[in-house]
Amino acid sequence: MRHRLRSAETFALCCGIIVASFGALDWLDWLSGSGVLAARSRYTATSPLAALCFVCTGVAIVFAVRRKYRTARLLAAAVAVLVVFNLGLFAVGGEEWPAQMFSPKSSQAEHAVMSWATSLCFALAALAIWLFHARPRRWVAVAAVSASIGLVVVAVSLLGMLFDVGAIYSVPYFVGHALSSALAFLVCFTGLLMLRPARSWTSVLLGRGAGSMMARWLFPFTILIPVVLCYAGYRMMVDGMLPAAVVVSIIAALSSLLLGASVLWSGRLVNERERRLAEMMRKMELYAQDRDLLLREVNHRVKNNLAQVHAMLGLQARRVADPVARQGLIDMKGRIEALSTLHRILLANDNPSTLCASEYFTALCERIDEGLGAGQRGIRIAVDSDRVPLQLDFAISVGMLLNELASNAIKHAFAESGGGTVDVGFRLVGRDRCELSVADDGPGLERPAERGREDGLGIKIIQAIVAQLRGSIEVSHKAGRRYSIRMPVGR
Amino acid sequence: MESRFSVVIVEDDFLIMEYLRELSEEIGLNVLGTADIAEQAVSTILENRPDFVFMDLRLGGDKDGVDVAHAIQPDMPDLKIIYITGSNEPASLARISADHPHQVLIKPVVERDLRRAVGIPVN
Repeated sequence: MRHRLRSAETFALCCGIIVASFGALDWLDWLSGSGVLAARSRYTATSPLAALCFVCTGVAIVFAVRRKYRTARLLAAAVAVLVVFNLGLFAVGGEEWPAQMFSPKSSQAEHAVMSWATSLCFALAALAIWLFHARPRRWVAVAAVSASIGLVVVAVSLLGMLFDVGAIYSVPYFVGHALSSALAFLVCFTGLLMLRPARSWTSVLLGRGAGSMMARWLFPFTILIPVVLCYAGYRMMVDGMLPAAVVVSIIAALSSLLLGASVLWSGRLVNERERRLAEMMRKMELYAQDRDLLLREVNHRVKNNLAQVHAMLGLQARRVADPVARQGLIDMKGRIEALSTLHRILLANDNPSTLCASEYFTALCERIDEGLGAGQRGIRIAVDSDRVPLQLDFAISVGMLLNELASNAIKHAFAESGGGTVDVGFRLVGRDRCELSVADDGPGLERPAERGREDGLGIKIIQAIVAQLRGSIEVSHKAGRRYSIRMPVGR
Repeated sequence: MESRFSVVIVEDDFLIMEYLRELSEEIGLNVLGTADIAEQAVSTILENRPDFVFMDLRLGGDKDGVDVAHAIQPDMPDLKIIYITGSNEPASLARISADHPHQVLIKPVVERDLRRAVGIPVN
């Protein structure tokens, strides 16, 4: 469409240049005093005023394409003034004056002023140039309508000349409207319609949609069919081959048939297009379903594998006599449980690409609580989290971090009989950082150094995840121990 | 040990099945039998008439745990079925809850989950 719009601009520019050159040529002809063009034939006769108007209109179109709207409007106003002046000449009966002024020898009074048809066309063109670049859509529509009316007027005169020149010039309205002027107007109005093609009906012809494709196909036929039929009918009537009534009824029947056929054909094209679209939609739906199924299957596999690893660690732990090794396996089993919990929470989510921090941490802490029997020991886990969406990768890493810290606190911070509270906090710091904090109020029975190698692993895991998240960890001691990790938030 | 609860385990993953068997025995349940496909599960349950069934949702073959439950319920309406499922997707959970299960556990299960599900006090 954009490519076509640019071509439309070039087209309008060319039209403007052609119209202006045509006007200039006629104007020079009058200026030279010869009036050759006007004298030679009524097909080429153009009045001096019309020549001037053509120059102004053509140049105005060129300026409009070049986006010099003020100059274009000025020229359009000049055309309007000339039209009014021309009508004034009609009113005072000074029709011969312009011709005499330029070429005293000339006796072409007939072509000295613009015909009514020419005047109307210039008025329409001036209106279109004035309004085509107005801001309100309504005015642009008026401009398009006036250019279209101009096109129709020109079509009537051109077809009239094609059918019978004598007949058309016997109508006072068209007297003096030469073939050359009509052709120049044809160029002028098509150029005008291409000034803002996106805003007028020409957009349908230039568009990329199925409707536009169809319109490009059918448009020439819908124009040619009536013309050809009527011309053939007219010839028949003139030659007296058939009575007029019969000819007209043939024209009516044939044009009904052909226009009806073109409507039906376009309907068929639309149906075909729609059928193909529906087919494509159905395929897309199937594809989406397949993908959905595959994704669920993969998720299920991941969880199943975690459950298998968990089961194996459980089976192994029962068969190890050494209490330290056994505890190591049980801790490992706990970590796998935590990972499974993360997956479980993620999959329960309707929109599995992000999840809500507050719901996620609450669910995770409930699971840690249950897994370690914190409730039975009188230990409470309190979660206070901002309600922000988190990315999956980030959520899984932070979840593992939280699992290590909270499990550590529950296992080691409190006396066997006395309870306590583990405070878990997650909040945004500034625009793109966040803080995860895990604080306990227990006495902290064992120091890390006394807890053996397994806790060394816990700390190693914490450090690794903090490094992976590009965060920093701080430990402070007040009532109990408080870990605070600051890191960029993945949302 | 006359008052021991009895259980049949229906699970298509043999590792997890073994783990569940050991856990069940550990908490004092009497494991009467195991099965990994639906038809075998129906016959094992009907033969052994346990108090509880640990039922996986996905099984080898076309039928799943809920189908097994439907097949045995006319004969054993009071059987307590505890679903142990790997998937907590809304669709799977909806299918299970339509069967009015005694309990639903999500894998991986730990000893505490099993004790709570069959009503044996935790420690």
